[in-house]
Amino acid sequence: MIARRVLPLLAVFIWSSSAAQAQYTRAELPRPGSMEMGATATWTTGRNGGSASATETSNPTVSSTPLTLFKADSRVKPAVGVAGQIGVYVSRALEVEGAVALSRPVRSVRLTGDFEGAVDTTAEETLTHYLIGGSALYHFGRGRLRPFVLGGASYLRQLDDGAAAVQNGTELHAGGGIKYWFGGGRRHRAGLRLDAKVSSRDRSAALDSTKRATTATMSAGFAVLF
Amino acid sequence: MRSRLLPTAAVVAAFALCAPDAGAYLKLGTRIGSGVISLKWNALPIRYFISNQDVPGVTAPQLQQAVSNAFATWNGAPDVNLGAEFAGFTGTSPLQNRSETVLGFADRPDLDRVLGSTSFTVDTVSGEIVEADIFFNSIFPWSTAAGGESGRYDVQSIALHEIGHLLGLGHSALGETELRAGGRRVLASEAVMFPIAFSPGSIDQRTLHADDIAGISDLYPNDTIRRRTGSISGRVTKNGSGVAGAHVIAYAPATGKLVAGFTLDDSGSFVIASLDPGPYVLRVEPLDDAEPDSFFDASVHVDADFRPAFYPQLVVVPASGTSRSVELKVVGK
Repeated sequence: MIARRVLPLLAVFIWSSSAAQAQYTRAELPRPGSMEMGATATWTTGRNGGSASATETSNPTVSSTPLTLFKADSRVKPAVGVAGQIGVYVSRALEVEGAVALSRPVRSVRLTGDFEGAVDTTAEETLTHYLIGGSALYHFGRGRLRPFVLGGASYLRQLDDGAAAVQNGTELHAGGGIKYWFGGGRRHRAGLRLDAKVSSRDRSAALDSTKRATTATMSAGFAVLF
Repeated sequence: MRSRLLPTAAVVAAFALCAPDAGAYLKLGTRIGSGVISLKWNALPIRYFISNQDVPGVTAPQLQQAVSNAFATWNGAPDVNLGAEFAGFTGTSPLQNRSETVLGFADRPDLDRVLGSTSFTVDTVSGEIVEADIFFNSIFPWSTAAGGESGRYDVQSIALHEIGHLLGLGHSALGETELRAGGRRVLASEAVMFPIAFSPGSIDQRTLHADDIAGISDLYPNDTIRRRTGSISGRVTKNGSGVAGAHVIAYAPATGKLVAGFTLDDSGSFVIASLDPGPYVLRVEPLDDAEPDSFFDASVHVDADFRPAFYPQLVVVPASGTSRSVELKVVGK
């Protein structure tokens, strides 16, 4: 008896979904030349920034290994930020997007094992990261819910505490996400955007900034399609 | 002055003071009027003679070659505008000469803990070094062997240290020592200008370290270093008052370089210059690995009664600028 009741309801749902799909398709957005603007909040994972030791050259009659004055273990803490995107659809599936992102990660260095007994200390500074770059997004499906994959590159500008020092670098990213479009008129449509991407960047805020660092970034926000 | 063990009562010269504008490192100064200015050579290249006295194991030409190598090491430091020229051998002792720059061996059995020493003639109006002499104490066994020689002190290593003085550098405190019967033994150091030499046979101190390079490039900068490097400035305080004679170490985690400076008076102020741009860890320690008179004259009331400490923030050095001022707070032992 239960199965008989469920079946008609399920059929109605599928019919309704198909109707919405048909209605959305008729709205003709996005189409080549459509523009999309968005604003998202971002969260970037923390990462190990490397370890180092402050050492002095040992008197060879005392030791053959350097004397460690203290150890330094660095870490870049997780950081929240904001980002803005503006994109244009090359086709119904392919979008080219420009983006600007701002975040303020904290670089911390744990200082331990001092040779003369200085108390273990964590020294920190707040960095400011600007990312200005572009991505290509390929969307799948034609419904309200449109998964996509993306890949791109950015210019990274890193300002140390108080903007005392500036470093420029590059960032490469790849990932994917989903957009959910609400109903709207023929001229515009509002939606939600969620994405996750893996990012590789130099000037990584690590102790050894010559190495590229890999992080993951999650974003969530709003988008408007014109 | 380089000592085998800690010198008991010796400074580089009677007029050796710490210059008030000392940036990275400790520079030698001379009091002119009410102020102290850095000692340095204005006339380059520095022309020097080698005393023709041989000692067991080292001939005068071998000494000349070791000294030439040591001068070349200082001249080859990055961002430095220096030059030196061998003028010939001389029969004059470095202990007696006061007209030309002479380096050579001399017998000083009274200085039984001193391997070498540097003295100057200074223009008391300008602070310019007119001539300087270095003697290597021939009561010790010496060697110029390329790989060092067991039981003998390496001439080139000691020459490198003394020539650092000759150029106007004071002592560095980047080193650790232990007290033993009869004096201190150096455990490790990260500066050629540390006042106590490694054991005989070692040639590890033929190479300049970051602290030495920062010091010499601060004293004899070329055209680019002021644009390329920056400095850290601040104060060391205890209970709100400045601490004199505190040793402040700047450590660059990205490169591993250690460069240090001192607070020079009761204000507790310090400047560490010629630093590559980037983030630094700051650590302050009392001057307790050598006697204070290895570093300062008696006018500096060195306070060594505090515990080593780190500054709880990373300090960022900008290119061609100075970091924000920092206050390193220390507590008594």
